[in-house]
Amino acid sequence: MSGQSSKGQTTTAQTHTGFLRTYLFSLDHKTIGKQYFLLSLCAVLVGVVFSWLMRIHLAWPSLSIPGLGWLSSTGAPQGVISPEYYLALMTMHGTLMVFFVLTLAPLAAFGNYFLPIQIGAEEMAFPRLNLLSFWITFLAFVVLISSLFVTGGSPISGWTAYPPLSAVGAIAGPGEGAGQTLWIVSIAIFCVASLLGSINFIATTLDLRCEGMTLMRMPMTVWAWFITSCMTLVAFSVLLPACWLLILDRIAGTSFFVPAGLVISDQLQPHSGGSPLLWQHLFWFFGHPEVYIAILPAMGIVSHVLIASMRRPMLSHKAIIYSMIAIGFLSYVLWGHHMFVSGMNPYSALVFSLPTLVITIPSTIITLIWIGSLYGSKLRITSASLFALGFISVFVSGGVSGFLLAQPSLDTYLHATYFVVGHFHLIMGVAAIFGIFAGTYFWFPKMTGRMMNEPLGKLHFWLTFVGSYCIFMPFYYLGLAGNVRRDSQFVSAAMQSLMPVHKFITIAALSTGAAQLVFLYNLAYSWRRGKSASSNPWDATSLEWSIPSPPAAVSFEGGAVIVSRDPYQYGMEGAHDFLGQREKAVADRATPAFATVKPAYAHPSYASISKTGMWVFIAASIMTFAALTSALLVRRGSAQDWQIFRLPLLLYFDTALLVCSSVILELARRSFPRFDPSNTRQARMAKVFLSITLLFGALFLGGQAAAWLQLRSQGLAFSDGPSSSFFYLLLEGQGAHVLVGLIAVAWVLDKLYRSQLRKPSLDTFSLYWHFTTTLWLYVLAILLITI
Amino acid sequence: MAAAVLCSAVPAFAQGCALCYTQAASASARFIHALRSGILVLVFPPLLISAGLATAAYRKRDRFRASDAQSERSADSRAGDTHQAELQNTNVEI
Repeated sequence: MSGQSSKGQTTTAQTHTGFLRTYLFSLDHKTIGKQYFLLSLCAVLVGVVFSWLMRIHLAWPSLSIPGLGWLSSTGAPQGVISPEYYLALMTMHGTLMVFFVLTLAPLAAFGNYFLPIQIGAEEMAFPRLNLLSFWITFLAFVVLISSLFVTGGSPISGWTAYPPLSAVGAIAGPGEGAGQTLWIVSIAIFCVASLLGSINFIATTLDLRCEGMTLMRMPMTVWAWFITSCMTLVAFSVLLPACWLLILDRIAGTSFFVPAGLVISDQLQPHSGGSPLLWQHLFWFFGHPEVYIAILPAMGIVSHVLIASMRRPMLSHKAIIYSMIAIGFLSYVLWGHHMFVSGMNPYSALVFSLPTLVITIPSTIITLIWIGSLYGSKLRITSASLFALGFISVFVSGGVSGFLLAQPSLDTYLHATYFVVGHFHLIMGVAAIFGIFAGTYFWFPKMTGRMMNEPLGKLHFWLTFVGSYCIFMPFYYLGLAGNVRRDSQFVSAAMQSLMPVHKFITIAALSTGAAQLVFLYNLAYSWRRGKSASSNPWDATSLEWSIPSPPAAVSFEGGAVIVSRDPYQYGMEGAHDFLGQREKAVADRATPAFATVKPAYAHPSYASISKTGMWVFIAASIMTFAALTSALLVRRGSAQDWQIFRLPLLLYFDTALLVCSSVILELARRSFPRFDPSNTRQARMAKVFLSITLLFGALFLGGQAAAWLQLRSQGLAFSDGPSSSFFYLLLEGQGAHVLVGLIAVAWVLDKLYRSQLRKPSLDTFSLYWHFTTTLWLYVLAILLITI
Repeated sequence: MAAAVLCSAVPAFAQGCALCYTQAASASARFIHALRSGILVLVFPPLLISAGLATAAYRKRDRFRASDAQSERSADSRAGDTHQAELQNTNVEI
């Protein structure tokens, strides 16, 4: 591979050979996209098998399933699923599908592969971070799966992991020991990977667009990935500290979520007044946007596929984009509707109910635009377009029930029934998976250079479409009939009358799952032996169709990409009814052609992308500390065990040190533009400034440790009470930022000594260090106010 | 309609987590106030971050990678600072 930058530097996605660097540790965004796709495929296979086991057990509770006893001799003795094992399967199914399929496939897999290409970039903004992000995700997957094989097996607390069940340890039941701990660790790791991914996506979209690619010229897929990344950034920044708190409750004896006086198995739990509602508050701040994180990329994919199939643009490109922005924005102000029945203030329920209803407006606008655009179009019926149409169908079928659940009075009845299961499976699960299928059939030729078999694709669609309705529509009936969810068996006479429905659903689930073998066969066969694909088999317009199928390792082969028009120019006169984004119009063909101009690939400005990346990271940190602050406020008000203590005076001295270090670093930064490496006096000054920053930072950390020890010597331990827990936690969180900053100062100094320090590096580092100082001032203020 | 919905607010205690219900039902006004504060603390940062990202996107709406690099090169050449120009065109591998 050989991309050359304007100054002769090679781009990152090239020149590495060998199996490891080509297939496992490649920096090429296309390879990483494929890795995410395969990881999602593994996760969905495991998740579907788990759902089969659950459905078989619900329909025939005493049936012995061959081989299951080997997987878990205690959970499924002689192959018969126990109630606890049913809950473990439910937990693992939900976790795998929500995190490792619905979050990964439409965003990380397709986004990694196509976002840079669709904006005319050769690579992601931070390729190494991208690689790291994938392998951290893989680690999270391995940790989650390993919970199947530890003593007690997987957790039984569901994918929402509600405390106190998830917080009190092995005494709460099988799977609540090591299995639950592994689950939380896995999710925390996943959060880190998702945050790194979102930083990359946002910086790439903002800074790596090729010439002519204005925001409004970006395809809808890019908009969807960009908005989803912004949502991911905020949502996972809150879930991460929530996981920390839950882990601490389990292993450090703190009391964030476990209430006082809790007796389990005749044993009084040693916790002192935590609030289970606090977990709901933090978890659903992530959980509800997660629904849109799963569905928005699919909306973008469906729009993209439909336009190419209809041969005309949507009725309003802008309305869809603004609606997606509105969905992203509103998704953060309605998480409380998951707590309608938790007993929170009814007026709070009202505040959350209104935006829950309002968010249906942009969703409805998008749906109406899809349907309006389809009306009268000459739709090309392909596997991709069928799945796009199927997406609209299940999105509406699932969405309509959301209107009912948005009403607190109705939700009170329906909340814990199969009605909710039908709702979220259709709107979040099936719809998003239809979007993933649409994307797979549409982009497979580009990714592999081969076409998928269309008749098999259409057969796959019809089996899946009909099967999905057979599975999930009866759930509404079961819910309205009062069938409670999460129960592994229905023994009451009232529930027995619903068993035929359950058996029907189980048969439909097994059949629909088996129908996916058609897809897997098509995928595997076509990958190797499918018909060769041209560079633009769908006559589509966006940039990915202007390069060969599959793309070269350097997508645009080192040439500049200049975009001259909107992404969806269909319905043209002439031999072709479309104009690619890089093509020039017939009327312009006498003028110098864009396509023939091929100057060298201009590498993006390091200053711009590093600064964007740092600002996005800072946003994530702000959200993390906002979550901790929110938790502190709720926990402080939840019980009478809040202990007031005097902050060590050393902290004020530390504050002075950190503020001075920031001022000195700023002096170093401001003097740098005039810095000439050959000028020994200036070099010495810069080294002195940075060394003082390093020294003050180290002294700050030492001071924090001394303050910690001082409090410990006074008998105030981490788990003594919520106030001390939050004190130590906030100090640790901010201290970790300083520690990373110190490593960065050492790196900057090393570069300076070797005369390789760049101004953008110093600017970016300074930004980080000043943020760290500001963060400490914030933490100190919070501690002073609350402790 | 909003006014009608506001007027029809009723307590929504029912099924769901019995422990949550018990805890919330027995909660003091202090806890309800704390929960409200906790909600507000989590509402505002996303709004600010969204506004920040929207501003950044708007400011960069017509800025492209190539022209960005070119403008920096021209700025560098204006300043006559060849050292900086060389540094800024170094490859990015983070």
